[in-house]
Amino acid sequence: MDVPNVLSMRKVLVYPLAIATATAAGLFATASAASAHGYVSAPPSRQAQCAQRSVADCGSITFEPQSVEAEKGSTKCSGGKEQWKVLDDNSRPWAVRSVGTTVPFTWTFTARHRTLNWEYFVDGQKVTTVSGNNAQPEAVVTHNVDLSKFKGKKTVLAVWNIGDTPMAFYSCVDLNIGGGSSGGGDTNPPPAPSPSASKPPTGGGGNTSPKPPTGGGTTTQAPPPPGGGGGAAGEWAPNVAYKTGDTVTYQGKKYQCRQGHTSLSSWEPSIFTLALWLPV
Amino acid sequence: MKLRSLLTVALAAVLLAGCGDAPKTPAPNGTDAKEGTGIAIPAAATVHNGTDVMFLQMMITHHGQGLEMTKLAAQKATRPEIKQLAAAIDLTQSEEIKIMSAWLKGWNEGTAVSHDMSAHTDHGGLPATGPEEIAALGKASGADFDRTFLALMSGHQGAAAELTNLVSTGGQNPETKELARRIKESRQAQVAQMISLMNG
Repeated sequence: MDVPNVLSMRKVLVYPLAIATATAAGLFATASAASAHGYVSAPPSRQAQCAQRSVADCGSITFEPQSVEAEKGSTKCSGGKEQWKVLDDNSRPWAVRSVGTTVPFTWTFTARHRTLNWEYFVDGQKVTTVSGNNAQPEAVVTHNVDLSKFKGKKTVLAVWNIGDTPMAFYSCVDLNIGGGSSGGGDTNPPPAPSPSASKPPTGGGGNTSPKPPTGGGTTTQAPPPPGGGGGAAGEWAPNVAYKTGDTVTYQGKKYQCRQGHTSLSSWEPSIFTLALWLPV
Repeated sequence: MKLRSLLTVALAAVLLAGCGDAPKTPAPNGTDAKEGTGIAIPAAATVHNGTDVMFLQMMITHHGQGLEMTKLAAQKATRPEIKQLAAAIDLTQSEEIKIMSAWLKGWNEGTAVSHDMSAHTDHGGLPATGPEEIAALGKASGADFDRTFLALMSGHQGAAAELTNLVSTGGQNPETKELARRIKESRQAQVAQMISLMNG
């Protein structure tokens, strides 16, 4: 199946009510595509790194790391699909995570399809199969995979085989096996992404600033004088850890932060984000 | 099936209302701003279709599940970065629920959608989060809570971004489309932050 339209149809199928809408509205002719999405989010798979924007120019994978779907039976990171080919490209700056010999792989699901099994491969060789019992995945799926037969830099292919469709979801994870504890950080951080890629903080978890109040409205620092701060406020930007009480300017207007957060696109000051930013 | 007939009624109402009506309805209503924040709710135009309505109803339900998880995170998350992200998600999604509810009320539409889980099963797909997943999160504690929260919420927000495709292709109301665009963009960025938190 080809992706562009299938994607939007599959979205619809996540919620059957939407099918009714779509059918009633005559927008979609068929409603037979499977609804299932998932990827390895920890350690970060290649598509997870695309979603983090730590690897740029991944195409639509950046926005839907969960959609690397292809027929069962591939041993490629892309599942053999042209549109996910970037994931097969070993020259990309994929971060290589140093791990011990037993590695926990955690999946993120945007839809919980009945599962035949999960398979893990290294160098085209099957490492382990975990049965899905043809049931929905548990709330959190983490597989502790013994990789002690391998050493050094390896690309692990993790495959989620769906129970009631011919399809599977493919995730490749680059590891340095035996290079550190499973909880360790990257020893080979990727080269800096292109400047245009607004890179969210990686590794440090995004926010190393002192803990802001989390109570929603409690303010532990004095707010700046309203309107009279004298232009000290910086311009709003994404991927900045703002604290409650911080002020910014955005499109010539001044705003005060009401809840500490790491900023992101569409959380800029606006009529839709008054819970975060109050005009001052 | 009763859903379909409801939708037919809703669509018929839209068709009967036609496009000749006044283009703007100053939407509804300061009375939704319960917290005394004085936050104004952006108005939505009258023009809309059944897809807009269904999207808003589904997103309200979806947001409600997200809020259940952020409330748990406020109590149980161990890492301050996770608590902070959850608090910001909680506030912004609470605000979005008010906005979406006000638009639906302005169109004389209900805000609730019946969420029949058996229907999901019939169609072979299940959403990222439901009562079982939220219950599992409620039982988790310590580092396990953090891990569970990030795994569930990254899927939940990814699913929200997917859901916006419905209205960006099939919707009619410009404000609903703009909100959907913002939801898509901000949820994708939240997923990016959560992947970093999982691996940090």
